[in-house]
Parts: sequence; C-alpha cells; structure tokens
Amino acid sequence: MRRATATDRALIACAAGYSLLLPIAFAAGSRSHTTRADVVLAVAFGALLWAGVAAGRGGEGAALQARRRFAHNRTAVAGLVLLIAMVALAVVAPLVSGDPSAIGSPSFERYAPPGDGHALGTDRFGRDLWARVAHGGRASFALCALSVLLATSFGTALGALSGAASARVDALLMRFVDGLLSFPRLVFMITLLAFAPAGALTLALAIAATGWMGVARIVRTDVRRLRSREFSQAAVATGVGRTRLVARHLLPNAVGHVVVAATLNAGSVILLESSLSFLGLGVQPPVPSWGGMVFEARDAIATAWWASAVPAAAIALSVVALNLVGDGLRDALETRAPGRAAGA
Amino acid sequence: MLARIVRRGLHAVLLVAITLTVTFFVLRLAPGDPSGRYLADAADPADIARVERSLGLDDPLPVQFVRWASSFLTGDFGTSLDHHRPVRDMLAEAIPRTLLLASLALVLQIGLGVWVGAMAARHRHGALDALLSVLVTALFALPAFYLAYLLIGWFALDHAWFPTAGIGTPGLDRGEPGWLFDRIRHLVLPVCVLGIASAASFARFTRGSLIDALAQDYARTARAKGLTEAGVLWRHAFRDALPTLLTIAGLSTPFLIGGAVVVETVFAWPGMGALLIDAIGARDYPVVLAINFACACAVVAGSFFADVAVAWADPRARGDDAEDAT
Repeated sequence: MRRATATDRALIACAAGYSLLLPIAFAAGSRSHTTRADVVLAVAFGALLWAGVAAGRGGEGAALQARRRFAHNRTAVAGLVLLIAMVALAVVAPLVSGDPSAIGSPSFERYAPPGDGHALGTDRFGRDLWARVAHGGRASFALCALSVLLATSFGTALGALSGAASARVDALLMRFVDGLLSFPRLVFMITLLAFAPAGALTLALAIAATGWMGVARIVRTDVRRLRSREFSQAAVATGVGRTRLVARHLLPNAVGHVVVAATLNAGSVILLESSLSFLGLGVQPPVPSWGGMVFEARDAIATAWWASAVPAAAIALSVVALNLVGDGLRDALETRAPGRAAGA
Repeated sequence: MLARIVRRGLHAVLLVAITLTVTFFVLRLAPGDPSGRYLADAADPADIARVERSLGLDDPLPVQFVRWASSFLTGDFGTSLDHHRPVRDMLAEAIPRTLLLASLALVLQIGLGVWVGAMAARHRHGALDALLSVLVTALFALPAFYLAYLLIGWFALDHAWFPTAGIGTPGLDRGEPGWLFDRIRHLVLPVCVLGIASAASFARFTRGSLIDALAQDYARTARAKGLTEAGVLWRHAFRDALPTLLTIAGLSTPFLIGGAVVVETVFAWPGMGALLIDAIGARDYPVVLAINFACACAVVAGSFFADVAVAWADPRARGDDAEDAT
C-alpha cells in the first residue's frame, strides 16, 4: 500500500462527509419529496465514491499511472469536483433548501427576482427556484444513473457476444446495431415512449434502449482486437474456454473504453432528458426536473430571465462536468475511443 | 472508386431493409388490436375475425411482413388514424420543410464549425483558443430549446427583427411581392438555433483534427518552405483533415434530425418533427412509423453521401479493399 496523496485524502474526505450527510439529509427530507429512487441514487453514489477511494488506494502498474495522469489533469479534476458537488447538492437538497413545491413562502410572488428570501428568485407559481433546482437534480441524475447502467451492461454483453462469436453471427449482430443506429436517437426514443405506459422506469428504459449501441460497438471491436493478441492465445493454449476467455481476459482490458463511453453517454442523457421534458414526454410535473423548469419559464424569458437561466445553468454545468471527466478519463487511459460521443 | 460507391450503396440498401424490419416489429408491439380501431370493444368474435381477415391479419407473419414492406417501399404508408388522410400526402408536405431546415443548418454547422475550429487551431493554447473553447463547451452543454428561447427573446420580442414562429405570414401567398423575403425571415432563427447547436461539436472535432495535422512533419516542411501559417492551415492541414470532417458531417444527420424535432416544436415549424409530436400525442401509429422510416432513410443517405465525399476527398480511401472493420 502506497502513501496517500493529497487527491486521495480529498476524495476520502468527500466520501466520508457524504456518507455522514446522507442519513441526515433523508431524515430531514422525509416530510417533503424523497422517493425510493432518490435513496437508491444517493446510496449508489456513495458506493461509487468509496469505490473510487478503494480503486485509488489499491492501484498499481498501469492503473496507478492512469490515476496519476488523471490527477495531474486540472480540467478533469475540476470536472470531477463539479460533478460530485452537483450530485451531492441533489442528494442533500432537503437539508440546504426548502420544499420545492411550496407555493409562496414567505410571501406569494410570481417570478420574484433573486435576493430577498429567495436566493435565486421564484418561478411562475412563486415556488423557490433554489429548492427546485436542488431537488431537480435528483430526477436528472437518477435517470442518468439507471439508464446508463442499463445501456452499458446490455451494450457490453452484446458487444462481447458479437466479438466472441463466429464471423457470420458477428456480422449479423453488427448490421442490426448499424440499423438501430440509423434511427435518430431522439426520434427513436419518442417513438418508444409513445408505445409504452408513462413513468420514470419507462423513461429510463427508453433512454437505455436507444443508447447501448455505441458501447456494443466499442466492446465488440476491443474483444475482436484482443482475441488475436498473444496473451489471449496463451490463455487458449492453457485450456481456457471461450466464455472464460472473454469474461476474465478480454473484457477487463476493455473496461477503460466502456467507462469513458458511459461517462460521455451520461452527459448526453442529461441533455436528452431536458429535450424530452421540453416535449412533454420527460419527468412529469409536479416532480421538479431541470428540463421541465426551463420549459415552464420559457414565456418569461424576456421579463424573468433567471427562472429559465438557473435550471439551464444546472443542465450545462452537469453536462460540462460529465464531459470533462469523460475526456479526462479518456486521456488518462490513453484510449482513442471511436468518436461517437456527441449523441442526441 | 465506383466499386466503393456500389458497395456502399448496397450497404445502405441493407441498412434500409434492417430499419424496415425494426419498424415492422415496433408496429407489432403497438398496444391494442388493430381491429379495435374499427370495432366497438364488445364486438362479436365473428366480426373481429372478419375485420382481421380483410386487413390480412390472419396471414402468417412473414407473409404480412412482405406485403407490408412492399407497400412501404412503394410509398404507401397507410392512412392516418387521426387526420384520415394518406400518410404519404402528409409526409410529402412535411419532409421538404424539414429538409430545407436541416440542410441549411448543416451548411451553417459546417461553415461556422470549420471557421471557429480553424481559428482555435491557429491560436492553439492561446487566449482566443481558451475563449472559443469555453464558448463552444457552453453551447454544447446547453439544451437547444433554451438557446432557441434566448434568441426569440432577443431578436423576436425585444427587437422584432424576426418573427417568433411559423413558416410564413398567413395570407401572404406564393408569388406576391415580399413572399420570398418573408419566408427567409421566418427561416433565420430556426436555422440559426439548429446550426449553432450542431456547430459546437463540429468545431471541437475541427480543432482537434487541425491541431493533429499541424503537428505533422509535412506542416513543418511547408512552414520551412516559407508558407504563411494561414497557408499551411488551409492548403495542407485542412486538406488532410477534410476526410475526417466529411465523415463527421455525415454522422451529424441523426443529431440534426433529432434537433429538428425540438426546433420545429419551438418555432411551430410544420415539418416532420412537429408532425411526429402531433402523431405521438394522438397515438397515430401509421404516421409515427412512416416518420421513423423516413428519418432512418435520411440518416442512411447522409452517411452514404459522406462516404462518397470521403472517397472523392481522400485518395487513400478509394482503394477497393479499404473496407473498414466495423
């Protein structure tokens, strides 16, 4: 075990502080708008933070080098800090802000400007924008986490299958992926939503169903490339079966590409969610969501610019943070993933 | 080169066939029995069987698929459940409008993206580069509809330079004086929103490929020969980056069409995107599926044309056995 660096200590402090705040936040938020999804998201994010700490401490060789490269990349670290701050704000929202649905406290005022009792002003129903933007992150990040998890696992599984299969099956699967990629993602997603009952789970499934193809192609290319390498042939020579070869020898070498793709995918999911909310197909009111907030304040953009600028800034900051982390991971892992990151 | 175009053309046809199959199965997934659209809920089973027979729903699935696909390919998309009009006529009105919007936006995307990317590459790691990269990152991360409302607020509400929405002033017919000017005024804001939103990522790619190209040996040789930095950038580096940029421009079709859905909704532009949103609201499945198919065809066509353009721009890609591995 090597000595802890400043970054390690900062990360440990983040994770510890977060874990301490978590139960308090939910105790405070139980009266307002905490759903089961919020709890799952918060616990998952805490686990991810501790996993980051563990990965940092146990790393050696190539992993350690990649970590060092990431830690020396100032913009990437800034992105990571921003991301942690945004998610943490969403999780501890009940602690740091009031009820996002409370109308007119302390006094009813539509589109009150920032200042005086409302740090960021109010929306068209006189609801506090700070509370709404803090709580709005919960829907965005929960959707993001669930859909990216689903898309990445399915994409990885299918990509590994295609990479390990015979050339004919591989060609068939990849043509299918190409065919699905021919549908513009937003159009495809809207169509799927039209055929399914409305709800948060449907939303996550539709986003995942239209987002796994890029990962599948990346994993498939990696598996195919690595299959012909010497370490893989050596494993086959020692009697390792095909399933075990892919799962234990090839996929671990593709993890870098998958993580980068998942991070960049998460950024596009935040934007897609806002587009869907704008079209009335996203998170349904009264649950606050950033896209929905921009949409609701659109007519007042000339008179009460803050009501749409605040949620738009939250969207932009999250997307920028995720993209910075993704780019930083890509540089740190020295991967040149095929550039299909700009999704919509 | 011809062989490459033919092979790519066959690939495109295959892709269209796959999208057609996907569309068919999505149609099968649609909730509700098709006969339910013609009969009351408590209909006699004999009536249901009769309707299903007349609609061809009792045939085996492959037979249904072939019949359905052949009518689709000949442009017979069925009748809209909501408007009771042939879907083909509705698409014939909507598609040209979306294509006009998307193609002008593509021109703006390429022009603006290349210009900004080249400026950033020329002043790489300098103050201008940093400023442009902040601007590009912000544009990339903002939802397109927020940008749209910002532009409407400034250019249409505060200054009334451009109309807030619509395709043309009602009552002003084709051929009347000022018709063309009116149309162009209505186009400016939607095209700007769509073009600027997609130019952001294009500028990032342009900057990246130009900086890679400028670091090559031939760029140094060109500088040593006494070429100006602008000359090196445009005559040598840009020429080298062109195939990559063309490929990326071809890949941006799905983004442009997806963005068109949002932009058309903001600006009440009566194109495919607005039609799609309408049809979704009314659960008008034939229209939804026809639009999906049309979008997929547009994307396939976009990447096909990009491929042909790459073959034209890149002598290395003309070889007949240069098939990429994907």
